[in-house]
Amino acid sequence: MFNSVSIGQYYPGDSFFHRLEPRIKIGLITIYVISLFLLDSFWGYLIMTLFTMTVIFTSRLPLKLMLRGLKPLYFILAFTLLLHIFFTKGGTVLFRWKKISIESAGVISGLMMTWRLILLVMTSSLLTLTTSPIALTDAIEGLLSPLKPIGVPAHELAMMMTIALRFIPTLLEEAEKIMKAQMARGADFESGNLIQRAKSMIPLLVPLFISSFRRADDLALAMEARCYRGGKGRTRMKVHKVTSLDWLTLGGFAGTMAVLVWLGI
Amino acid sequence: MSIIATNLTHIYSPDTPWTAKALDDVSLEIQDGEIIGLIGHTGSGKSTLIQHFNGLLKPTAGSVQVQGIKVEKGINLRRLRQMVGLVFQYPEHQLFEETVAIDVAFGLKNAGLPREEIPERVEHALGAVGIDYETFKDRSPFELSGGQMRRVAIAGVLAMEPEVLILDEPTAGLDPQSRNDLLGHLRRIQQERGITLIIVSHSMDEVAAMVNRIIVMDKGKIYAQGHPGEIFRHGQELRQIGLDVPPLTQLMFALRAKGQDLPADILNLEEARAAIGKWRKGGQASV
Repeated sequence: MFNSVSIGQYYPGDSFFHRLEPRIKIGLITIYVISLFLLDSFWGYLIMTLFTMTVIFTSRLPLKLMLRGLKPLYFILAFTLLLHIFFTKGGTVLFRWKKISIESAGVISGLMMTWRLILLVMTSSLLTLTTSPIALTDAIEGLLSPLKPIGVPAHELAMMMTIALRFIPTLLEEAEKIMKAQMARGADFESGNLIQRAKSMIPLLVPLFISSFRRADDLALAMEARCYRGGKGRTRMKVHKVTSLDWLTLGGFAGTMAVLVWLGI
Repeated sequence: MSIIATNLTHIYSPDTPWTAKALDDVSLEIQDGEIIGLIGHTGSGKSTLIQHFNGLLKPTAGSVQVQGIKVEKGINLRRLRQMVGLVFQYPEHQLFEETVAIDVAFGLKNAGLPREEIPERVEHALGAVGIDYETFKDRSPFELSGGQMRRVAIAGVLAMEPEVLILDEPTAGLDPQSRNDLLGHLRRIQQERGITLIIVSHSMDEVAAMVNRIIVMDKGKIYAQGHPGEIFRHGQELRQIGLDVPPLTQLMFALRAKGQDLPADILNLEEARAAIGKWRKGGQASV
């Protein structure tokens, strides 16, 4: 039953966007998101949509996957749209019934806001879709390391994330094993009301917690035994190097966005 | 009444890139009261096979019948699981309650046994694995030793008084003393209750002396089955599928290879001592 869970959402590939240095990728997406909030016209949105679509198609990401990523947001999207349609006033009146009216400015701003949200979510998910979790943690460590002098534990944070990611499949396997063992003792995880079901999770969760703590202890000991001493002076097996192409991409994109914002599109 | 598997096939995650055929057309029959050693190295399909016996897995093709109940969708799993007790590898990892007694009673409560009958069953089950009820019932299962934890966990399954008891690698990770204790308890439980006992293991040595029949599995199929003595006679072929016969049998083989007249189906130390004694007398006589 746990087989359907994929770890992170990484969709392997070898496209230009896949190969961009992860730190640069985070930079690009940050610039994109900022610009998206500064731009405020149909043409601006259209250009941003083109950017997103180009990346999706060149990375060979199935559109279905992208749309599935929007699923949890359906409610918020609908809510935003309706809020604007009913409460933003201005322009010509399209519909009136007693005190309720729908005006053209409301419809336009509703559609624009929804569009903006969709672009925002789709584009930020491009980061996790095209970057492996490990590369992503490395990038986060890299970006945080300038903050080390003021006490940000960059390496420790990245290490914690890496370990957490590494143990997700192990824990799922363990959970399945314990579940089966308890089912063999007649435990029932599937029927009953909400409270009964929550209660029936205790025989699964208690052993799972205990084994997680034991594993954490073992891992800490094993790391100690191999003289792990934290970030200082550690080298990496896989070094991410920012190439001139990476810089060029970042510079070019930042320039384009600056021009668009300056033109007020 | 017995366990009958007919052309049983099990495929994990069919129609996905991770599809794996764990059981391939397995047919076998286990009679009531038999003691079976199910042997095979990792990935041979033995764990998959036993999970069919209590309905944790359902056949992809073929069928399994346990005590006349066909294992398929929609059957009364509770009854089946009470009848077939399955003890997983490292069963001590399933302990979760505050006290030993409550943990052992977990299965009984799930089975809906009347409250007043539970303590007696728990006491009986703990006694069967050599854990004193009065001393241990109120202790936390997490302050016990490894061997004790394992026996408490096995008691949790025994308490349901199953007709078939299946144990997956029951002695894994135990020291020799606890290992012998545990196997001794199992043998006694089997004799007293006349239940069917299936012990899954990758070590011939461990099960040789106590089982009636060994079933050897390899790559999802039954490779061989028969009385331990019979199986050990094929030591050479067993080695090819990554299994080893017990050291005593190996000794006999080595001596036979040197042209000595010794039996190839030795199961325990007593038999070996008798055979070697006889051989030495014979040898001296001919000198």
